[in-house]
Amino acid sequence: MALTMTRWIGGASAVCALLALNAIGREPTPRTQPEVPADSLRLRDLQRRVGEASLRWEALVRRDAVLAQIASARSADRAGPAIIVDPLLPATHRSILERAIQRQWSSLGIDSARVPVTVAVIVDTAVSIDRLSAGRGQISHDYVVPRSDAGTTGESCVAIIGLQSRTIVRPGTERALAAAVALPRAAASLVGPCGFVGRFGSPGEGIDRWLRARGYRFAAHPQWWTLPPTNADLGTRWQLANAGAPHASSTLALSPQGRGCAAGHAELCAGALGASDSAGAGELLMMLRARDEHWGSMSGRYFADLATALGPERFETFWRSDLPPDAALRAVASTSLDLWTHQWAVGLVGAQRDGPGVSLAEWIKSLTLAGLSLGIAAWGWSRRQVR
Amino acid sequence: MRWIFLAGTFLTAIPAIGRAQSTADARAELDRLLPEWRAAREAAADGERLRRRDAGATLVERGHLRVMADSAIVGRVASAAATASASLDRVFGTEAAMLTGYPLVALLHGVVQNGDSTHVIRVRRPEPLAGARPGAGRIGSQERVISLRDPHAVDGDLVRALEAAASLPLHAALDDDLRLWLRSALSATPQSQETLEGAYVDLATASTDISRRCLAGDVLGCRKALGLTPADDPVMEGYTAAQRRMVVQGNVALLRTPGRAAEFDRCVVDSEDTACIARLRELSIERLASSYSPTVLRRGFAHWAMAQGGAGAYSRLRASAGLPIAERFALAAGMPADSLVARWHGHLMTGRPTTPSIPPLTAVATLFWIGACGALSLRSSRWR
Repeated sequence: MALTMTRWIGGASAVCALLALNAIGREPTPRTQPEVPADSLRLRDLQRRVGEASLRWEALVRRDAVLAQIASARSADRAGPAIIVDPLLPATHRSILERAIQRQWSSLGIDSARVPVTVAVIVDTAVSIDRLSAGRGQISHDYVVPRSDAGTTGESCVAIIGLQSRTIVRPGTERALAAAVALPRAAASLVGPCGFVGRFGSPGEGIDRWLRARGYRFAAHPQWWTLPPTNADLGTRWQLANAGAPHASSTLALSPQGRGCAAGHAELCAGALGASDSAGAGELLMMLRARDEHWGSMSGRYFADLATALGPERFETFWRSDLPPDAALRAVASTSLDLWTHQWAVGLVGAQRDGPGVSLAEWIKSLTLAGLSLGIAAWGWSRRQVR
Repeated sequence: MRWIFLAGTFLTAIPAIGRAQSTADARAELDRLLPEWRAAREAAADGERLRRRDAGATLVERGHLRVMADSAIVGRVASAAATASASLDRVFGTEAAMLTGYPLVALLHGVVQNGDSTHVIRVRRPEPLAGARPGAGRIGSQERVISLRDPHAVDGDLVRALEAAASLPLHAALDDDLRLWLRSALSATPQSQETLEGAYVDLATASTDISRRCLAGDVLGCRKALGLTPADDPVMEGYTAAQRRMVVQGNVALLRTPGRAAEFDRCVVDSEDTACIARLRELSIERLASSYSPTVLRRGFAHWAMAQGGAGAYSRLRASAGLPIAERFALAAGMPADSLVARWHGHLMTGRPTTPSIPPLTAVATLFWIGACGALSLRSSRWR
């Protein structure tokens, strides 16, 4: 029996049909995970809670040590932050940190701080009780943001930087320390929310309340740019400032609400800015605890990007407002917080598609490829055919 | 009743955790949670013991190695543990005695992989760490999973998993200098010919100043490649121009800072080596060294040096904390550091791969398929 083209195609089709039937007929096997016993689950939950309590206690001990030092070393100079560095650190390490803090301060354009700012660096490499706070990272960032009337009471904003790894504090590790504080986000964390307080003064009651309900995580990374004043709307100004292409992996950090907000569902934006990990007035803000479930590490730049888009004057009005953020933003920029959040998200992660689907460009590419394949096959056919 | 009491304690604790703002409050909160956590740890350990008893788990003791294995795999585990224990004794000598305080667990689990049901053996430390010896550094769980799909590979994989898991407490007990030099736990698995070949190929293809010098037999070059002597200028000696550009490009978040963006772009876009050198100067020595002094090379050297030193080599290595790393290995191996490095170089050269040839089976299979395709094409008719 000759292997004619018709038979080749018939055979291949039969095999494909058999494979398809087999795939359709097979019951999907559910993915099973080994069962985790209830006592192990309970232990894990307690482990997490004890770890958090241990971290908080350690942070409060550092805070007490720093506040005691500040009381005896208060400086009247507001041109720069008062820097207190642990004398245990080698001189080269101290110099690296002081220069990094000064550089960050200068980049924020603060000539004279509205509220005095202190940055304290503490070496804290001691291992915690029962090694509970494992995985606490190389550097901790905690802040004491003063109440809204701090401008008159003389209270200062305190950033407490804890160096928790021996690999960045021992002699000879200065380059590792420099690398650890060189990342833009790490550099911004050296002053944290105190950058806003130093530049724009204490936040108004409405803004402060809103930020505290969110552990101040939306003001964690102060880093803004000054755009020339224009009449353009907030979204356009943000696009001008944020010229970089969205990072390919940035969408991975988004929660469904965050992605929905970026896809144009403005009603989801409020949920993506939801409250959690609230802190009372004058309480210690621990940025490790304040990790954002909707925006990942991007949440830290939310207020900084708003400062860039609004410009310093309008942002200061917004920042010091006693109104909630939505009303305050409407007052200074005639834009709702939801719309700004959508524009901000699009700028960072690109416009998101609403659910699964195929874009027009992908349709065109697929059809072109299919047409090209058919054309080549037809051309080959016509050449092989015996007339 | 006990659960109600514990749930009540939990509910009353939640607000306090979040709100504790005085150090005393936080400490009190922690002190309140700690006994509960320890009790839960003990309860989980008891539960684990019960489950193991139900599963017929047996404690396998081979040398200093203690493995609690499910009854279905106890024979296999016992055999692997005997081999692993011999390796541990050979590499770590009397220091391996501390492993009696760090038992391992080997569990048989059914899993689904790509839609097919299969079994795996999980080798790890017991989940509740109750009873673990205090004082040592932090030990990760680092579970090893051995698939039973390939029956010929299971025994070897199991031995390697036990050797690797058992070495973690030994690594945690090392002083900082040696632990950082080794980077990760030194397994008791002897260096295979493939690993040696891999190390040789890595060194031969690195094309850096350090690698070339080491390959040519320069002892100082090899000392630098092993991280025993610091490189005078790691950026220039440890990288070629192309590698420098690649490293800068790969560290965009760290090296493209607002003040140095132009320099970064000159390096990455314009391939300007001076800009790459300037950017790399900001990376830490440790980060730079991870490329020109790879961990596989260091481990191979450590294994070889201890083999030269014979019995007690690891103990001498541990006991000499405070000395430079090269001197410590010299003490462990019982010969001067330069001689040790020179002889290791000779050993590394034996890893040079032989000229590859086509295996007979591949040749036969190739000829068969050529013949089969040819025969089919001869039978195909013109399309009508």
